[in-house]
Order: sequence, then structure tokens, then C-alpha cells
Amino acid sequence: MDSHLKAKELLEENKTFIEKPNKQWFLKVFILAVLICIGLYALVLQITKGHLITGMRDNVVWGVYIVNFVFILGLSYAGALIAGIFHLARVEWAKPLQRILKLITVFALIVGPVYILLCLGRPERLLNLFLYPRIQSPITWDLIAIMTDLIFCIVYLYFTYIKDFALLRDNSANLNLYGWRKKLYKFLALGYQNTPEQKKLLNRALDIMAAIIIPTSIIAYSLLAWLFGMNLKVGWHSAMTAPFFVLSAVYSGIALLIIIMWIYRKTQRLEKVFTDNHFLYLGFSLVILSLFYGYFYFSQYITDWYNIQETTNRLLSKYMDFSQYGIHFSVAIFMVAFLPSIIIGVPWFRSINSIAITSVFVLAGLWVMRYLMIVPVLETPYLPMQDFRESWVHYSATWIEWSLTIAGIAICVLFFVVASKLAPIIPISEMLEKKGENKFVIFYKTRRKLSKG
Amino acid sequence: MKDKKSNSRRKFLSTGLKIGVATAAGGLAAAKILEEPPKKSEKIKVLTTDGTVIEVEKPANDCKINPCSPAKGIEARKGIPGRSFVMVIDLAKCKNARKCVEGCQKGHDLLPDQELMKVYLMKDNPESEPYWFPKNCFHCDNPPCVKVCPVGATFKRTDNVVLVDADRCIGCKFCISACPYSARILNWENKETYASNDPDYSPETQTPGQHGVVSKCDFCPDRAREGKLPYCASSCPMGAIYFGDKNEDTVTNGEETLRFKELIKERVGYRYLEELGTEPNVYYLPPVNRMFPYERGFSNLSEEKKEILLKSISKP
Amino acid sequence: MKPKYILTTALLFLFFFYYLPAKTTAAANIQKKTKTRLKVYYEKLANSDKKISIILFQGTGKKMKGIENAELVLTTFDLDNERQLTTIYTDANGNAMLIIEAKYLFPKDERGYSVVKVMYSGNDSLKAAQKKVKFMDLNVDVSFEIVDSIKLITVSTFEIDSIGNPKPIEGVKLNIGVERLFSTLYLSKIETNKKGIGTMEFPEDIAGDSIGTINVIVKIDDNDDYGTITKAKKINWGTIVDYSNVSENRSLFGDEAPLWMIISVFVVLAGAWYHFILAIYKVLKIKKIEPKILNEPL
Ligand code: SF4
Ligand code: SF4
Repeated sequence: MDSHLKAKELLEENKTFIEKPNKQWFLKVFILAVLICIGLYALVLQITKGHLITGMRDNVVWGVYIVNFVFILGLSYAGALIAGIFHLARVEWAKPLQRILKLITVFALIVGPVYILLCLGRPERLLNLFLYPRIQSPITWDLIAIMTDLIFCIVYLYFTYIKDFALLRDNSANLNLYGWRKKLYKFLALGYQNTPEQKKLLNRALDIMAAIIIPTSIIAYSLLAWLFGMNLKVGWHSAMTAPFFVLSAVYSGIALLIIIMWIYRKTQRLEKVFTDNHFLYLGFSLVILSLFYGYFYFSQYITDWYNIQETTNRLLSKYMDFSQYGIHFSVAIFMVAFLPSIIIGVPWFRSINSIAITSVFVLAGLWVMRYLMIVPVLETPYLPMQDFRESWVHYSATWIEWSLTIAGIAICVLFFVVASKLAPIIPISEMLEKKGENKFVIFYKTRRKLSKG
Repeated sequence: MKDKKSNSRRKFLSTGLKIGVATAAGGLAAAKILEEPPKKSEKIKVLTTDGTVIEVEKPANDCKINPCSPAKGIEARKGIPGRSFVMVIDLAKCKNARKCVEGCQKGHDLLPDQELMKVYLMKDNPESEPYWFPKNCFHCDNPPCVKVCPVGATFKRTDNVVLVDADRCIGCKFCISACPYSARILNWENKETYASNDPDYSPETQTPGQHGVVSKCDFCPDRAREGKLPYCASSCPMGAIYFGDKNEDTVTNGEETLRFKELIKERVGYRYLEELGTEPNVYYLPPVNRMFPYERGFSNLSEEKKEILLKSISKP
Repeated sequence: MKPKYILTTALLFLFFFYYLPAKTTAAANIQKKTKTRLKVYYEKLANSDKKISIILFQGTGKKMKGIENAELVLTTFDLDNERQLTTIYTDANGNAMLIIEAKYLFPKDERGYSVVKVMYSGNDSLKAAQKKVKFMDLNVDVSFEIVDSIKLITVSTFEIDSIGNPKPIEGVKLNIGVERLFSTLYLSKIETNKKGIGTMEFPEDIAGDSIGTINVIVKIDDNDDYGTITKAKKINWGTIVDYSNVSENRSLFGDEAPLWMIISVFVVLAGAWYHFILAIYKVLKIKKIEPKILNEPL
């Protein structure tokens, strides 16, 4: 069979990925583990000495941890959202990206909430959230949303793996694998044999999952935004918060997707899978999103600025003042709102590498923008800040926070390294399905009705 | 440690009405001494009708509110029935003596730089004279901090008090950022002085709290049960802080007892940032006809600190 | 001088004053004895018991410091004979008190005064002190009546003479107020007339409790002759304060979540989980219908 042959070919081409790890792979893991250990050391210090060794104080109670939390969860929800939409809309060219998107979703969703734990004064009392739940609190909404989303996303990820596990199970003889892995594939493939009934069932399950993941992630991220929106703070309590958060999430998700694609393409020679077109399509969506971002940002701040109020004025002037956040702000807003239009929009600059590097800048810029939406706001209470201790007035993160940030990223990367060893980073079987082969279950009956009428 | 703390609280308990009456009798100078809790003399002597002298235990029930000891568990979340505590701060009298801050810190076993009561220097507009502005938690009737707590560790009671249950708080700090009045602090340091796991624990006496949880002004409900003013009100030398029960329509600073509604009406009392809709229970009397020029308040601050204050009130 | 030296000197100074005197001879420290003072107050409590409260202290103003655990001898005078009542000890702050039951008969002098003398005999480092307090025993009666729908508080002041007849006292200044949680809210000051009677119109708008009860306090403050006298009586003349429903409109932050919120959370979650379980069910079915004969491999 045609598809059967192609599958084997594809697998053969990419088998170095999943075969027994070499030294280089172990080196990668080791470096990541060292970074993680430094983070763990910082964590131990933080627990034993108390939060005083972080930069957080009574005014700026949330620092880099929450920025990371918001940022990483944003990536996660974006991954789910984009993957779901691509799947439901049957976007053919996006099929190779599916697996990466779903991996981002799950890994970010596991690592993100860790930062909120780091931020808690008494993480060991987490159980209280279940003992005395108060659903009036945005934190409880968030908790429910994150847990639901985590379960959904892990299961969804697994569903999309089933066909590939079956493929690996059937072809394990040709691959250089450890014995336990063969058994694992067999178990995980759930006896999937690609019979028409099985295929129909699986496809339906995938469609349902994609359909519920989309609203779940939008809701979950909006709830996260309301963590800020429900605070009586200038700069946060705006109706714009939730949509703006969702937009920035999608934006950062696409930027990250481009970066990961680029890394795999460069290091694993996946030019055939992650083609130039992928970069161009995603690059242009980056441009569009950057314009949207600029639009949202502008409309939020122009209204604040025109209706100037005392506290708002103090906050905005911090963004404009070059001795405070002026530099961060202007560089970051340039990177997220203008850079994609210039580098990707102007043909002369446009190339695979430039698109990828722009994405790096966008991602960094978005992180800084999140920082700027959290820290300066907390530094601008209604009452004047009259603390005589400098560190109580201005937040600056300590090495504890930074090393835990790096450790978090390292964990995400480690997950990726391990996961791409376990099964191909591209959804081989899904890619081989012919266009229009699997029918769209949700609107199935409607379409029939429409075509009849 | 906790022992020290609960002891001192108990001592206050045992002092009671007799001392209160003696204070009233003794006039001002005597009051200053009598304020302090005595350490010994659990018995008092009574001269009976036939001229013999007997010793009796001091009546335990010296308190104004029953039960006298701080409420625990579910009771602590309900509030003292029929009470509606309010505070009125007369800005015309404040000269940044900082005695309220110190009294509060001492009474609540706080660290020297933890301030549940703070004194700000404020200036309403470029033309107006700066004034000193003591600020604690406003015990809002529509408290943003309570709305956001995920575990109900901070709660509003029927007696207007907003309390923190230090045994339940997970330290998410959401309430700190939700409070528009910067009234909350966290116990950042892992210090042993913070009490925990005390069988006598009550949210009414949760200060200084525990490591990693929130603290805030608690309106001293444990003192109210004994008929005593909060530490800040009783330690202000100028009598700038009035405290009382709105249901009784009375506030007092220890020397002067006034009718709350009349006071607010006549002196045009206001609540800080009324427009936020938080409905505070702390009222301010505007700083008109001041007793002191505001510069007097710098006398206990270094030049450097003075600069910081003055800078923070100048418009950007 | 540098602060360090000042501190050292001060410490030495303290050391000499507080520790050395105990060891040196009595003669050496006669000059060094500190002066002590006594303050004595007489008070008649609400239940007609009398109270003598005493403070023993040294220093004045901010340096004022109570003397702990000192023995005080209390005496009274029966004509010219001094008669010991009892001895009491001061507490940590120099306070002491004696309660005298209402019916105890103090000897009186020819002008009707009773006297209590308090003596402190001093010790190695402290000088002796003594103080007398003179008082007359005044009775205060409070009654309430409503005349033409005006609420009146009537106070009468009288002494009991030696035969047991009441004798009205004129010109006593009284404070009338209501008891509050932290203090007494005084409403008016009155003076008794020739008949020893003073009246006061009670205002309509004084807040009571849930049934309008108030505790009226009548107080004579530090009168030269009569000391401090407090009298309290309850009446339901206050306005009724209803505080039973105080937490009604506080639902968003009450312990219970509002219904709409519970419902919407439930609906959203139920919808999502229903579909989720549906999807899982479908996938689990894959395993069930696994063909026994192998299909062609993928
Ligand atoms: S002042 Fe702040 S902490 Fe106090 S009740 Fe209001 S919102 Fe809560
Ligand atoms: S820090 Fe404590 S009291 Fe504040 S919201 Fe969190 S759990 Fe509640």
C-alpha cells in the first residue's frame, strides 16, 4: 500500500530521533539537569530562609514568578488553541506542527503552575484550596481551569499519539530500541489496528477533544487574566485584560512554535517536514498578531492616557521615564509590535533565519511586556510609597528567582528532549492521512442537510 | 514565642474592670501608670461590714463582652454580636508622633519594621499644606481583599472587622494586591518569633501571624472584649484616634467620648478614596484648624527620610 | 562626651543606686534614699461598696515609676484614736486597692468626715511616705419618669445622718451619661437643688441595644467632699438598633458563593467533562474491537 510504504520511509528517515540515545543526547540531559539542580538549591534556600531572599516585598508581592506563570501558561493555552483550530479546520499544511503544539501545551501546563507554588508563602497548605474552597475567588477559578485543562491536554496528547504508537509497535523490529520500549508501545497503542471502525472512533474522539480544548483554553486563560483584572489596581482592572491576554498568548505560542521548528530543522535536518512554507505562513501570522497586539495595547493605553487620573498618570509616567521603565518599555514594545512587520513584512529582510530570530525577539519582548504589566502596576498603589527601605519600594529579582526561572525553562526543554526520544516529534501517521479522508464529526449531519437542501 | 504573647494577652484579661474604674478615678497622671498590666496581686482585700479583712479572688469576669476570651474556630468568623466597630482619625491632631505605630507593634509582637498602622505624609493638591495621615486597615464593608481569597482565610465579620486566619492562609498574596489601601503585609522572614500551632490560637489574636502568611490590622477585637481601646487609639498622645461602636453611635479616644454621627456630620468626616466603593469603616476628620504645623512631624525623622517623604508627595 | 561614656556613666550610676545600697551600711545610704510619693483616691462604686485605690511611686512626669510589692498600712481615725484597718501590698506598677463593703461604718469626725491614712514605711533605699484621704459618704438615687412624653431622669443626693434619716445635699455636680463599650458617653451635667434633686431631659436619639436598653450612668467626679461616686441603672429608653441582618448584602464575599456563580461553574464543567468522557469512551472502545486477525501493519 502506498501510505504504508510512505510511513515506513518517513519513519526510517527520522529514526535517529527515537533510537537508542547517543552520548550527545546524554550530554544535553546532563546540562539541563545541572541547571535544574541549581534551581532546586535556590528552592531549598527559599523554603528554609523564607521569601525574604526573593525580591518580593509587601508592595510588589508578585514578581518574576508570576510573570513566568502567566507567560508559560500563555504558551500552553496558545498551543492547545492553535492545535485545536488547525485540527478542526483540517489545515493540511499544519499537520506536521500538531505534535509540537501539543507537547508545548502539556509541558508548559505542567511547569507553569509550579511558579505559582513558588510564589505561595505556605505551599504546604495547598490542600486548603480543596478543604475550604471559595469559588468567588479567581484563584479557585484558575485552579479548576488549570486542572481541567491539564487533564484534557494530557489525554488529548495521548490520543494523538495512539496511531504513532501503533506504527512504532508494528515497526519496532526495524528499529534499534530497548526492549522495554517495545512493550510500552504495544501497551500504549491500545490494540489499534487501523481498521475502519477503529479509525472512525479515534477520529471522532480527536475531534471532540479538539473542540473542547479550544473553549477550555480560552476560558482558562481569561480566568488567569482575571486574576489581575479582579484586583482593584490601576492598570489591571480593565475589561480589556482577558482578550488581551488571550491574544498575547496566541502570539507568544506562534513565536515559540517557529523557534522550536527552526531548532529541529537546523539540528535534525527536518527540512522536508518543516518546510519554508511553514515558516512563511507562521511568519505572516506573526506579523498580523503583532499588529493586533499593537492595536490592543494602543487602545488600552490611549484611553487611560486621555482620561488621565492621578494614579494612572503615575503609572504611565513610569513607562515613559527612562530612569525607570522607559528603556524596557520602548525596547519591548518595539520588539513585539513593530519588529515582525519590519523583518517579516519587508521582503528584503525576510528569510527562514530572520523569521526565527524575530520570533526569539518577540518571545523575549512578550516576556518583558508581561513583566511591565505586573511589576510597575504593583509599584504604583493608590497611596504614595513611603517606605524608607529601597527594596520595599522597587522590585528587583534576586538570583533565586532567576535561577528558578532558568530551571523551569530547563525542565521544559528536558521534557522535549525526552519526549522526542520516546516517539517522533512529527505526527507521522496523521501526516499520511489523505485530505478529506476523515470526516468532520461535529458538523457532519448539518453538512449533509445543507447539501441536500 | 507564642507563650510570651499569650501570657501577655492573658495578663490583660486578668486586669479588667477594677483597674478600669481606678483609671477613671485616678485622673490623667494616674492613668498613665495604671495602663500597664500589673504582674502580681491576683487577690484583693475586702474590709467586711464587721471590720474583718478577707481576701477575695479578683472577679474573673472583668470583661464587657461575653465571652471575654477571643473567639475560636467557627465563632471567630462570625463576629461579636451587635457590634459595628468604627474608627475616626482626627487629622488635625496628628503630628507624626508615631506612638500609634509603636503601640501597635508592641501590642501585636511585630518586628520593628512591620507596621500595621502606618503614618503617611499626604498632600492633596499642589497648593494645600501637607498633613500626616495615619492609616491602618479600613475594615471595608465591601472588602476587595475578602472577595479574592481562595480559601476564606480572610473574612468579613458582622462586627465590621476583617480578619486573617493565620492558620488557614496559604500566602498567595492575592489579598495584598487586591487591597487598594496597601493595608496588608506578609511575614516574609522565616522567624521563630511567629506563633504557630498554639492550642489557644484565635484569628482575633493572630498577629504577628506565622511565616509566609498575611498580617494586617485586626481592630483589636480581643481588646474590645475587655472594653479596651485598640493599641493605636490608646497610645496616641494627642488623642487623634477615636474608636467605637457604630451601633452605639459612640466613639472615644480614651479621654473624650463623642457621638459618632454628630462628629462626622459636624466635622465633615470623610473616608479615604470613597470612590472605590470599598466602604471603609475608618473615617477621617479633615486636617483643618490644626494643632501643629506639619513640619513638627519631621522632628523624629532623619533628614534623609524627610527628603524621601517630601519627594513622594511632589507631583511627577 | 561621647555617647559611649555617657552610657557607661549612666550604667555605673544605676549600679550604685540599685545594687550597692543593699550591701553597704545603712548609715551610708541615708542620704541616697529616694523620695516616694503616694496618691490615694476614694471612690464609691455602683454597688455602694467603697474603694480606696492607691499608687505608690517615685519620680514625676515621664520618670514616674511605680514601686513594687511594698507594704502599705491603712488606718482610720476614731475621734483622735488611730485605728489600723489592714495592710495591703502594691503590685508591679505600684497600685494597690482596698474594697470596703457598703455597710461598714467608718468613724466620722464632728464635721462628718471619715479619714483613711495610708503609710509606707520605706526601706533601705526608699524614703517613707504617707497620705490621708478625707471623704463624706454621699448616697445617690436615680429614678426615671415620663412626664408629658418627655423622658426625665431624676437624681437625688442625700446623706444619712447619725439617726438614720436622709438629709438632702444641695449643689452636688453630677455627670449623666450612658454606658458604652469603651467608655461612658456623657450627655449632660446637672447640679442638685435645695431638695437635693436634679433632673435631666433624656434625648430621644440615643442608641440602645436590640430592645433599646441603655445603662444610665450618674457620676460625681472627684468631688472634694464626696470623692468619686458612680451609680448605674438600666432602662429601655434608647432607640432600637436592629443588627440581626447585618450580613445580608455581603454575598459576594460571604462564605457562601452566589448561586449564579455555582450554576455557571457547574454548567461549564459539566459540559466539558461530558464531552471529555465521551471521547475517552470512544478511545476505550478501540481496544474492545481490536481485530483478532492482524490487519496489515501500519
Ligand atoms: S483596607 Fe484593605 S485589607 Fe482592609 S478591609 Fe479594606 S481592602 Fe481589606
Ligand atoms: S494570602 Fe492568605 S488571606 Fe490573602 S488571599 Fe491568599 S490565602 Fe487569603
